[in-house]
Amino acid sequence: MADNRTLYTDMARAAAREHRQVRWFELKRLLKRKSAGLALIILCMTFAAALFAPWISPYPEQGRGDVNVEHRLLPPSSDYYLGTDIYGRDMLSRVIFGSRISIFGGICIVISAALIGVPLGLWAGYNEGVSGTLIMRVVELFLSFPSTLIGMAISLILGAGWYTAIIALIIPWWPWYTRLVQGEVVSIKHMLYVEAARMLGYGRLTIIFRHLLPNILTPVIVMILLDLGPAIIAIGLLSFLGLGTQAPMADWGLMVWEGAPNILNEWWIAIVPGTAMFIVVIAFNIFGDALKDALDSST
Amino acid sequence: MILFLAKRFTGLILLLVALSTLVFFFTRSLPGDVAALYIGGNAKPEQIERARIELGLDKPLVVQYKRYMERLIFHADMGVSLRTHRPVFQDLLEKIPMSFELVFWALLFATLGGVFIGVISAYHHGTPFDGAVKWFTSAAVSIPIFFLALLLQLIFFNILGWFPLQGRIDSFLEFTHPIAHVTGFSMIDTLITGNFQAFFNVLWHMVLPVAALLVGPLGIIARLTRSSLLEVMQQDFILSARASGISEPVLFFYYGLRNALSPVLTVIGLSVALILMATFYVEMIFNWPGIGFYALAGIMSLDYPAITGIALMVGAIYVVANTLTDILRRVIDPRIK
Repeated sequence: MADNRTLYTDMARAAAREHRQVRWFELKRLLKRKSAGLALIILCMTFAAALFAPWISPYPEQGRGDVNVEHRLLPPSSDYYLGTDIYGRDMLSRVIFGSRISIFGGICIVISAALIGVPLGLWAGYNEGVSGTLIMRVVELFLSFPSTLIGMAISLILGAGWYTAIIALIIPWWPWYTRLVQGEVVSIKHMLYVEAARMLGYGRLTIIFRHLLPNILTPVIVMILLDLGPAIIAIGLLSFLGLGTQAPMADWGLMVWEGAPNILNEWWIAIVPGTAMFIVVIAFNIFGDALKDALDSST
Repeated sequence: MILFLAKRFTGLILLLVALSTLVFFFTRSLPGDVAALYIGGNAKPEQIERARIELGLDKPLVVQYKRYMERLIFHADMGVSLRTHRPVFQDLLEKIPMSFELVFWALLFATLGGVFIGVISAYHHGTPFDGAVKWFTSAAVSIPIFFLALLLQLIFFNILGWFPLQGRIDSFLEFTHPIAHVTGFSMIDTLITGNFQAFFNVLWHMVLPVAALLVGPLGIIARLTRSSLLEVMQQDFILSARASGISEPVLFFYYGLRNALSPVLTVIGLSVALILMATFYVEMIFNWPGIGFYALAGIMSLDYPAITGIALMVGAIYVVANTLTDILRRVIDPRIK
């Protein structure tokens, strides 16, 4: 009996380990691509800008929202590299401060959604009883309506603000993870190593977290990376409507909204934050795509 | 098939009931006193109390729910807008045709263009053209819709001067050649009344908003068509058809494409709601008097009945579009069981 036990445990572990090794080994392919490398560099720079915003922006107090009326609506120049907005605030500093909410808000939304959605998906996939069905019904209900609409409705209930916008976006976001993980778990739970673990008398939670979780982690990580771009856009969509960050704080969506009336003459007020958002989102998308291709053995 | 249809329609009705129930609880959990908002600024307490009784807000939640559902189902009554002081349903009916024109063209061009680009880039996959398409689709799905709309205005109005900035028709034409109200769809109305000057003017005004709406769905559809087609081309039946000597273009455009379109159809269905949500932003930036403009004005002035009506409508369109694509997929693709 004791021998059998170690044999099965080793089998289970080996299967899990091999699975992981094969996948992560292929990551090396990823960095050989020029576009993925470039995207990674852009992302690292944006992270650094967001982290060290007070030290690297030329006018940190304007980035936080102090007005500077005598220099309002100046075009890009050597004093203000990206021009100034209607209150005379330096656009470069504003964009750097605005990256904090976009980047950390986006990460916060996606990570929280995964932290809520993945355990529920594991549970619903492994137990197809009443609790699992109930979870999946709730998920289906959420996925039956547009996520943006749910986000808008919830942020109207919670009231405007940058953290309520983030909460309002987490709520329609987690069911996507639950559905992904549930599907994955259903497809692997009859594999030999899971059966072996069950035969050895391991508890449900042990099997779920020690044997199933490591094997569904790859698609979850890919999905997290692919979701960061849409999450940043979703934050922008809410703050553009005035449901997210409130002035005078800096936020890219809000800044585009503030610049929209001046688009014909002082175009930089709306175009600069919009371009920043576009570049960061496209970098996330290209990096996530490259990672998906590298991990997906079929291509 | 009949069983499948019955199942789908039951699901649809259940979802619509769930939607209206959720919207009911949504309106009841909104911050602020609805009765006070209904009456307007600086009302006396007794006036607010009367409004509360008039709106049925003094009754228990279950009674309110019953009343709300009865009105919604039998009278299509969504309340009176706090901003325009007209029934929300009437407002919506008036605005729907204007948005529908934009959504229709955007969906049509996104579908045709997306499938076309996807097919061509899958046929030439691995070439520089395919690489360029990949970059384009990445950009198309990454660009925030409001930024794209502003960018189009800046480039095509301010710099090139090719298209008008905003609105639905030039203001002087509104007086010389007013659009007769027959169906509410300005393009049909101008055509059947022979008002060609207004027709071309409306068409010209529509180019930029439609372009802004279609870029995102175009990218998604092109990308999905490409990957779906490449996946189908690796299957065994293609190999056996190739072995039996069928020429490569026929293999690709006939056998391959037919089998690849089913997942594309799902995305086209989802794009309806995507474009509808995008009209919120595009119509506001282009000052187009449709549903999106109405929704955004409602959100910004906290016009709760209007927001409720919009949420009900967008949710219902999304659910119905999904059900229809499901049925259509089933019809064109017998493999789905």
